[in-house]
Amino acid sequence: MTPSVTLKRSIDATLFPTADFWHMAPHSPHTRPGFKEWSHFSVLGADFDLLMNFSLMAGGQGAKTRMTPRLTLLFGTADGSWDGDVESFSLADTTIFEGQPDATLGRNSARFANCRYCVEAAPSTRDIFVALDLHPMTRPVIANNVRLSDAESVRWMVVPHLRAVGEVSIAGCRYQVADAPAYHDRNWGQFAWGGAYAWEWATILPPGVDQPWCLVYSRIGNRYRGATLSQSLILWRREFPSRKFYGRDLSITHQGMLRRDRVLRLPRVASLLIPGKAADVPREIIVTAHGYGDEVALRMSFDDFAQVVVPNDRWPGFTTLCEIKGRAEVAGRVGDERVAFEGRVQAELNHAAG
Amino acid sequence: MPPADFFVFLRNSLSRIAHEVPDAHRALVDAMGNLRARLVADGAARTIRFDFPDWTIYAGAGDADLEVAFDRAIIVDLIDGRLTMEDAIYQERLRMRGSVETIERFHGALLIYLEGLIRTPGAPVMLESYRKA
Repeated sequence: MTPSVTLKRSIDATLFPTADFWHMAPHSPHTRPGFKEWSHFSVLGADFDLLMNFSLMAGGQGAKTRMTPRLTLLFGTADGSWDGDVESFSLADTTIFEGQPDATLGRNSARFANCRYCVEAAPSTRDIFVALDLHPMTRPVIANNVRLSDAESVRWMVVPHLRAVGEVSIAGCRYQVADAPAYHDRNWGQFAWGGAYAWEWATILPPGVDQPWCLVYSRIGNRYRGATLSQSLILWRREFPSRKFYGRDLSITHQGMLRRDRVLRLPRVASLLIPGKAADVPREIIVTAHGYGDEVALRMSFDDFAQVVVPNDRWPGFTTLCEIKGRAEVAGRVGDERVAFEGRVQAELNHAAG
Repeated sequence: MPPADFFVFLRNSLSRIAHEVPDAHRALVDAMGNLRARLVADGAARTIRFDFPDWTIYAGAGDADLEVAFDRAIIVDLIDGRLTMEDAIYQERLRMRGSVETIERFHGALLIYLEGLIRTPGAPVMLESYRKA
C-alpha cells in the first residue's frame, strides 16, 4: 500500500520502536499473574469503525503463570451492524518478543516498519479480513504511571493520530480505505479486571489530515464511579502534545442514555450471562476545560456501541468494555491558536458488570 | 454427525473447566449438589451428575430430577448470541421439565458452567469444533 503525499509528516521513525514495544513475551520468566499488556488500533472510517486489540494476559495463581494471547476485533458500520470476535491463541501460534514492537497471533499481525504500522487480521471464526497501513501523524508519548486505584496503575504509550490506508473486507463487502483517521496505544501493567476502578476514555480525531488538532479524553474513577481519581483532556497540535487540561480544569457532564435494540457482546456466549440490552452508555459526554486563559469545549455524541466482556481476575464476575462510536464537536482556544473542528470519536467505558 | 457429539463436548468442557478454572468447577459442583439432570440433545438422552471426583454421564434416565431437551441449532444460536436463554425457553425451543426448585438450581449451575467456559482458554476452539461438527 502506497501512502499518498498528504499522509506524510516528518517524524523520526526511530521514535516508535524505542517507545512502543512489548514489555512481556509469552515465555518471559519474570512475568507474574495479573500482568496485562495490549497493543490497540482504532480506525474511524467515514462509513465504518474498526478496533483491533492484540493482547497478552498473564493469568494463573501463585508461581504458576498462564499466558493467553488474544485478538479482539470489532467492526461497526454506519447502519448499526456490528461484527467481530475474541480469539485466543496458543503460545505456539504466537510470536512476541520483549523489546520489539511486533506481534503475530496466528494469521494476524501488527508490525512496525518503514515508519508505519502494518496490521493484518483475519479471525478464524468470522468472514473478516483487514490489511491496513497506519501512518503516524504524531510522535509517541508515554505516561509511565496512570493510577487506577490505590494499589494499581497502568502505563500508557499513545500515538493519537495516524492515517489508515488499505482494505477491510467483511462478509464479502469491501471497504477501500484511502485516508481514514486512526489511533494507536499500548497499555501495560499489573492490575486486575474487576479491580477497584472504572474508566472512560475517548479518542477524538479530525476527518482530514489538514486539521492539526486531535484530542484524547480520559477519566478514571473508583469501581462504583462515585469518586474521580483523575480526569484529563489532552490536545495534540500536529506532531506534538500541545495542552493538557487536568483535574479541576475539567467539567464533565453525561447526558441521556444510549439504547439499542440489540447489543453485540463478545465473546458471543457472554450474552447468556449478561442478558438484555441495558448498558449505562450516555448519549452524550460534554467536557469543558479551562485553564490559564485556554478553553476548550468538547461534545461527544454517541451513535452506537458493542461490548467486550472480560472475566474478572478473581472468580466470579465480569467487566464490560463498552466500545462506542460517534461524532465530536470541538471548539476553543489554546494560546493564540483557535481549535475548531467536527470529527469522529471512539470511546470506551470500562464498567464492572457483576 | 451423531447427536452424541454434544455429550463429547460437554465432557471435554467440564474436564477443561476442572483443570483450568478450578474456582468455577468448585462453584459448579456446589451448585449441582446431588442434582441429576437428564439432557436430551437431538433426541439422544444422557443423565449427568457429579460423583466425586468426576462427572458421570450415563444412559439411564429413571432417577433424573429434571429433563432439559434441545438440539444443535439451539445450542449454536445460544453460543452465537442470536438467541437468549429467555427466548429459548419461552419459545419452547429449549424445554425444561421438573420442579421449580430443580429448574432454578439447574439454571444457576448452567450460568456457572457458562462463566467457567468463558474463562477456559481452550473454550473458543471447543465451541468452534462443536459448531462445525
